[in-house]
Amino acid sequence: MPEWVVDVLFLLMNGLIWGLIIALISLGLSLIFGVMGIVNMAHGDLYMLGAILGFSLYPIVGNFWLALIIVPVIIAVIAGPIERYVLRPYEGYHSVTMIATVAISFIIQQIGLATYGGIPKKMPDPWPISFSILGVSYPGYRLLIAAISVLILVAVWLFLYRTSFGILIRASIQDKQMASAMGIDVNKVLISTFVLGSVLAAIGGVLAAPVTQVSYLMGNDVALLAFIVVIIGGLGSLEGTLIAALGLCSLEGVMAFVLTPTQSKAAIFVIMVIILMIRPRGLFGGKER
Amino acid sequence: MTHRRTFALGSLAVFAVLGLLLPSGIRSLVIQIMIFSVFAMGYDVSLGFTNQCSLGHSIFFGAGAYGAILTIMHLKAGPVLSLFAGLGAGFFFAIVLGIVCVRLSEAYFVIVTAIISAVFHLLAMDLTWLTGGDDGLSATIPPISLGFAKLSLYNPLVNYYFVLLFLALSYLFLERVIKAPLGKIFIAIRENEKRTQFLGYNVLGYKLIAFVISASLGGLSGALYALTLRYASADYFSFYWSVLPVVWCLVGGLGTLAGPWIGVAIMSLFQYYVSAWFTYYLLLFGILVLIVLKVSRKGILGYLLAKGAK
Amino acid sequence: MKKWILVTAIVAALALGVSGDNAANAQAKKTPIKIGMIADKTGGLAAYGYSHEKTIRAAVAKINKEGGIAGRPVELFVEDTESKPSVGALKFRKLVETNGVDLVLDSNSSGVAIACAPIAKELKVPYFPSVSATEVAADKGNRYVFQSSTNVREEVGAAAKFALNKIGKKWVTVVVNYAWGWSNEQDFAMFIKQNGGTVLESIRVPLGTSDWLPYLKGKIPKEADAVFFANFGSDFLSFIRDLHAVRPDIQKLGAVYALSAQDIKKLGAPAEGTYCITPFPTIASDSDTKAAKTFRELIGVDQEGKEIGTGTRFVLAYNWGMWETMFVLKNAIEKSGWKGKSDTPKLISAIEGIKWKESVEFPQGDGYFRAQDHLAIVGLYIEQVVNGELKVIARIPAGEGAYPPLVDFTKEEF
Repeated sequence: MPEWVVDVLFLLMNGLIWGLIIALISLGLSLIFGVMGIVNMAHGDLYMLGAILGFSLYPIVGNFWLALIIVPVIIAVIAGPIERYVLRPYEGYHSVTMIATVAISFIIQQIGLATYGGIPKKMPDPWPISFSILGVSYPGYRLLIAAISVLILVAVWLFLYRTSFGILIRASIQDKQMASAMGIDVNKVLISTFVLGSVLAAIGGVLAAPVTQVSYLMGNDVALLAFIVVIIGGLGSLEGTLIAALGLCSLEGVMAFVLTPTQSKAAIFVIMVIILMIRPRGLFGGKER
Repeated sequence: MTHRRTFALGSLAVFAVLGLLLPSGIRSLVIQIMIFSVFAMGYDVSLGFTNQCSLGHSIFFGAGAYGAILTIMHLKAGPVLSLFAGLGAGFFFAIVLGIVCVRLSEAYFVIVTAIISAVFHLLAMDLTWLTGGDDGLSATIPPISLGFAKLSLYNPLVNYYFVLLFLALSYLFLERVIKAPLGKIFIAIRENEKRTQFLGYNVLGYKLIAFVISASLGGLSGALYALTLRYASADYFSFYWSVLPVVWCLVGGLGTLAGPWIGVAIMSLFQYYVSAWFTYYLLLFGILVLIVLKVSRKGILGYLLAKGAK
Repeated sequence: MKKWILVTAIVAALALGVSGDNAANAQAKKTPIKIGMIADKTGGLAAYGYSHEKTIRAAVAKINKEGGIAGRPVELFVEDTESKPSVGALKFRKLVETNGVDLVLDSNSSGVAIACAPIAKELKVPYFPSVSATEVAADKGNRYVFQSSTNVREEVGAAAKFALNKIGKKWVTVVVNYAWGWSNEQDFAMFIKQNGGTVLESIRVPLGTSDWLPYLKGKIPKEADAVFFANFGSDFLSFIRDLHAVRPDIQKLGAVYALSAQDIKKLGAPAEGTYCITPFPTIASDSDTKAAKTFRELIGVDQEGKEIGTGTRFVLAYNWGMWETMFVLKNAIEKSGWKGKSDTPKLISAIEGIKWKESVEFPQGDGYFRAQDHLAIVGLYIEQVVNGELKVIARIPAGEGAYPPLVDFTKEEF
């Protein structure tokens, strides 16, 4: 096999794996938007919070996997009251809710800075084994990220498509007023969606922590990418988010081979504009909101 | 409605008097407050009057700043001309962006404007030959020649009243727009877009006009800022400057034109004073925002006006 | 009668006013010297602000303990730039206009420094940023600004001969894609060529890239024997790992700060043998001077440059600049007899060309502020990873390879 093919395959693989993490985060964002109509400006900071908590818990519990389970619980405990007491009162007033999430973002970021500090740190590799694939050694942890992300995505899919509560959530994405008229407890749906969305972002953070730097500002770039993914995939569409995340991240990885850094970033933007011109609601976007 | 006007005109009068009384440190802060008030007021036209929640206004702010600095550096323009260059830059980009974005539905509009502004930021950081990148460009500002005299912006009082003049002019201009039929159509669009459409109005066209007015003021504000700091940098295109106007408007009071000035004042005062004794002042400010929103969704001025109306 | 009382009162008041002035001058010995610091306490550069503040406070404590400057205590005011030029400019003005400081130190952000330089001149306040942007000692600076740090061109210039003689002749540069990376790339190429070497390839990689393979694989010519890199943090980790996969044999030289804040032991084979330029040794060692050891004690860091008690890593590569500036100011103020704002031109003239010798106050080594461009001309250190440990293996004396000044501020009016 020619060398460049191996290289491109590796880039594709790295891109796909990073795409899986982005898919988790974007899925959370898309759910929150789809059900609650909120553009969640604090989403990136929940990712950051997950990474920081994962980083801090790791030495305490000694086990990365234990941290991966504990962090979502902590985030759920934080996210629930945020939805109930901060966001729900402004339900229906989209710009007010958005500013409320901006305020939350300020608060979370400053708490992150005050406790974790301003210095970006590196987390040790939880599975420092390498596998020989196609003659090059590939880090085992990255394969694990892929496996765990896929498991979580499947679990979320099962939840949304096979459980009665999940169907309620999807019904609310389709038409909240109708769902409410049919006697569904919308409040329960709202809080569960926000918690689920936040937990997904936080898990993305814990998984990403060992492969990237953990810093209190790490949420900003990821949030932007998540927004692009959600737009291209179509707000409120779960399949669209997944496809857009995987597609975009693998594409960016491969483009690095031929384009300069600035050209790659600009190319993503051009792709987004083209898609929006052909399909103004994104690839799988739903009806008018 | 008259209460709102009284507040605005009263504030302008207070600014006028403060310029002579304040010590130099706070005076510099108030100059900044006035510059940002132009930005915030312009943003109110977009969000408060036609419900267009743009997260891309940093494009116009940055374009305005560079319009001013670049015309001074390369075209040897005077301050007033450079201001119009900045305003023009904001106007130009608003038309280009507006034509693409105004038609998008609410949430798409928000996110797409945010993404486009991120791209502008990236470009500004990269095109260092033009923008100076993150390091920025500093320029010596020539004096304003009035024929019989030369006024230098390096004189703090001149700087102060120069900015105040344009704040007042912008306010009076917007006040006329809001009073005019155009303004009433804006409000109609805000209250019920579909109905306004059914009544035969070209809603997209009017939304575009509002967007362009809003962006032009953002450009003017950016130009004033660049003139006052004698500096422009790619940082002016960053997301921070897109988020701030929204915060200012929501804290101060949407749809009131002068309400956002309160938001500007509070945030600036927080940054100036609280930051010195508590590094994480943004945390306190975030809590303050939540409290303000809890008390009144309409922001501070909205709340006061509602109380006054009772 | 009343008229006379009034006249007497006015005359008395005037007299008191005049003598009050004299009294004020006599008091000047005791009134504090106010020094301001615009620190990057929050934002992208928060890591610098923290250690810079601690370092400057330690310097102020030492100075005050030893009797102050010219018998006057030093009072420090610290403001946050939020790592943004606009906020930095606002806080610079605040320090001078509201707090009344006479001198301003710091920010590590070139954007802040460039925004504040004209303000320093406008307000006639000497300013000492801690930035490595070469432009500050050139067209973006002015007579009131002194570059209290090594700049990129100086750093690379000092290391060039060593690089060619000891590391390799045919180079490839790999830098992160923004101003600091570009400066390193261009200046390195210039000095290497000047000294008879060649740069075969220049590679730029976006910040935050976790996968450097696509940028390195197949891009490094076979005949290249060394790589000069400018990156840090997790970029450095990805880079060193991927470079090792592609060219394990090649020599490596890192720009200033590349190895900072890294746990060298954990890096393993990929990092072995890597050289790095640094203005101040990262790790304390027995071969350190007593001055350097005392300096570490006074600012409260351990062998590895971490703060004792919190474990926070200091940015020693830049902290020394702020520490030493405080003592330059002490010496210059005492030498010039500076009493207040009106004496500032005297002070600036005293700092232009001022020399210092290695000591606790100047632990980094001998040096001087070059009069024409206000750049701190100091020596540099070359560190190398040897058996998993970072050691200083060479010291480059102050001024070696120093580029000629690009401006002459001494001709500028105050």
